[in-house]
Amino acid sequence: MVRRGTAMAILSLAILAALGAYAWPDASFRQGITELGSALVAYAALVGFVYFLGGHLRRVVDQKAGWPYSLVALTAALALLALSTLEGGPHGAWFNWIYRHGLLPLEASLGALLPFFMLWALWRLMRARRSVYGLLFIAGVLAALLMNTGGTSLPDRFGPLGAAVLQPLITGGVRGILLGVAVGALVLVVRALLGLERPFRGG
Amino acid sequence: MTAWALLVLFALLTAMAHLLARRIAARPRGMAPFQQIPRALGRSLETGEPLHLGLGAGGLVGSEAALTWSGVRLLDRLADEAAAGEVSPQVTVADPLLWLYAFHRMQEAVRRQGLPPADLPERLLWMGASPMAYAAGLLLRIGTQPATALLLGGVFRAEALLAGERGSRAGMSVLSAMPDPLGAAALWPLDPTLAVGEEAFAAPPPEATAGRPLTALLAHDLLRWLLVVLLLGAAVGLSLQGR
Repeated sequence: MVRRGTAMAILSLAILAALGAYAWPDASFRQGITELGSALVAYAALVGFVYFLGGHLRRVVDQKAGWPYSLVALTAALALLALSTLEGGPHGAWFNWIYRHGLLPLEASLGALLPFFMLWALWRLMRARRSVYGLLFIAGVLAALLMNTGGTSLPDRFGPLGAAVLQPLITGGVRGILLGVAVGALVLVVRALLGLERPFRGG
Repeated sequence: MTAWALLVLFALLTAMAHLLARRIAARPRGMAPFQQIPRALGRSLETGEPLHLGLGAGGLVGSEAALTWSGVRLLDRLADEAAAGEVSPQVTVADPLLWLYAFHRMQEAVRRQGLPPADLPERLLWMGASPMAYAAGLLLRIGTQPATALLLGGVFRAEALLAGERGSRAGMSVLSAMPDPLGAAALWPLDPTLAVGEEAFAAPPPEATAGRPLTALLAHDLLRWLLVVLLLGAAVGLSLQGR
């Protein structure tokens, strides 16, 4: 009962925070709600981090499958934590250097794999089943690749390809989907408020 | 004032759609990814290998909370049934608050079956705080831990393809519900029947009958058509006003 009440209170806080901008013009009240939410997230992050360390430590000690990865994760997390503490926060010079020259290039490298994965997935799709949608999708991907690699030398009779295709079709389609997402989210919230949905299932 | 009017309008539309959904005899459409969940669960129980549920890079607080919640409904759907067969799903998250909720949810599911929650830290993993770090962790996990099916829900963008493709190559069924259009576009080649946009919010609750069509989708469809009519009406009205 208490747990369910707490969970519902957290949900109410989240809804209050979402509606705060509309309902309460008083900035200090909105600030208060936001800070309360931030404190909750910080506490959750701390608990999550401790569990993260504990889980990986257990894997290393028990030498479970893939334990060397856990050792790397554990060492990197503790090293960065120590560095951050020594520099008085995550905005120190060394911390920023590691972020800029370590994490960002790694993420960019992973992102650079995406076109290859996409082409591979498309090839497999067309091998498994050919359809009009598949052909349209391939045309779209090729167009996007062409436009992102310096354009095409095709005649520019109807204006730039991006303006002719991207703006009316893709932007319109994406906005339609986003409108649908808003509808789905709203239905979910209304169902939660009416008690038809039980987002926090306590014991 | 305008915001309040919009909120009231949305609430009215929602209530109307719910009322109409109960009265309309039209058969609600089904969603292939959700209809395949019982089969994936069955396969998991038969083989003893878990399902892998990726809940995306979003969190439960902030502008993406609703999108994340669509993935959490998948966890709600899976946790009890998987625990009943003593094969808890593997769940990966990128947000600490979501991690706490998922831990609580899985612990409850296991406790209801009278089982010790011994391997939960092994089943529930915080993979990384950024979308790409999360995707990298997910890739590694899928590559090293066997699973019968890969379910992706919540906030994913183009990086969803990395996980989906890896899972597909590992022989897993890839079932996805993507509220974000970028995630949906990335995963479409792998699963052309995936749930897109508001469809991702229509995961059936745990108590729903397996394979039954989703009435929530009917409510969404009605709301969407009502909005289309409103938008068209507004466009026509503004055009006439301009003349």
